[in-house]
Amino acid sequence: MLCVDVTFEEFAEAHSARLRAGLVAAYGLEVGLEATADALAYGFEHWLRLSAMRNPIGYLYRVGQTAARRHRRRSLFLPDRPAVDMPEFEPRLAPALCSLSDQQRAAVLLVHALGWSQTDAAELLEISVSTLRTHMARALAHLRSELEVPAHA
Amino acid sequence: MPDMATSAEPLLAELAAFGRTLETRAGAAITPDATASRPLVGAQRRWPGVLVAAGVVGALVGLGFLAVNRSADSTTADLASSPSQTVPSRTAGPASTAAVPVEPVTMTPLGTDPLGLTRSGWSLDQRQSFTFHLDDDTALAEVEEVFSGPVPDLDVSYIDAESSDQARAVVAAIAELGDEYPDAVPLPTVAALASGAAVDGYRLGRGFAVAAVSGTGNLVVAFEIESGEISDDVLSDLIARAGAFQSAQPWTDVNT
Repeated sequence: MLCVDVTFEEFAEAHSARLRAGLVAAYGLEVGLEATADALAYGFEHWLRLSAMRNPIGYLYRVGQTAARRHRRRSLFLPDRPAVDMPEFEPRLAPALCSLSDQQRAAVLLVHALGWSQTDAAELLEISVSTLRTHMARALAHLRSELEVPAHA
Repeated sequence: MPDMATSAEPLLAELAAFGRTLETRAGAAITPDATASRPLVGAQRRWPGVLVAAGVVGALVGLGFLAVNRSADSTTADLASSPSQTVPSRTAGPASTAAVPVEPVTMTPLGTDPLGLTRSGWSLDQRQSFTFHLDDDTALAEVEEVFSGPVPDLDVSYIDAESSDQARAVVAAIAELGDEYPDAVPLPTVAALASGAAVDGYRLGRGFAVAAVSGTGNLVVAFEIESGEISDDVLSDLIARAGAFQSAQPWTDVNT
């Protein structure tokens, strides 16, 4: 994805939602949103170099990961109850998600909670699809164990 | 977005419901088929402050650079006590896709910087110096920033290890990998940093791969320079090798 003829504003409008999704999935709402803002600010300042990269959104995701490390002294915050007019979900799910590694949480939330394709998720996280699948499999196994749910109904 | 609420697996249905709330609470649609309905809101608010902060940091870095130049003599003396290491010149063999001559690279250990921050790194062949922190707040973007100047096509990858043992195993696996690639030149000099981090790596074609375990043992950094030969797949391979290595060979703690 070379973006040499694209302005940062155009790039951000097209891709910032993906960046936000990935960082929120990995680091929770508070840290994820802060990290997104930091990464976009970094991208704005370094757009000339960023625009020539093969996968600028993946690069910004890594910048966001670094930013998240600065912010993550705050506890991981994931919603433990449904938003208004949203379907109910298991209240133990958020604590169980918090116990996953960042990569496992990002992988399982992007694909199984937000409905991304594995290819899209792997591109953002800058890992291979096979690695993504490994993260998802381990995450789901851990969640099943934590929530004591069977693999199939 | 697929309707996972009807999935046969209850956990996936729970995750799908959770995703709806997460998306709502994040304040914007973040599914891949949605347009970015609120791009840059947070960033626009923050940019002026960020730019001011960047200016301040730039000024501090400039002052630090001046201080480095002023103390060049003493720095040179310090470095003299830390022998530089030269990686011998190699020509990439038939297995390499690069197939270009490799120039010798001198790696010179650096010391603590004038600001008193704990930093370690090497000067590569006088082309540039790079420094990085190896504590749990490692600013990896800073690493990338430092590399980005004279080194084109930077591609930095890193792995967050899930445990100290895993991090060390990845480092060991990278060293092991160097034995299998005929063009890979191990970096035997990179044994331990002043910060107490364990580092190992190898040189492959025109690139480097280096892994580092933080002083607290839970961060692995692997990166390459000027090389497209080290891909995500190789990193995944490293992790797999690390698992085997970890079980087969007890790690000698070089931090002590």
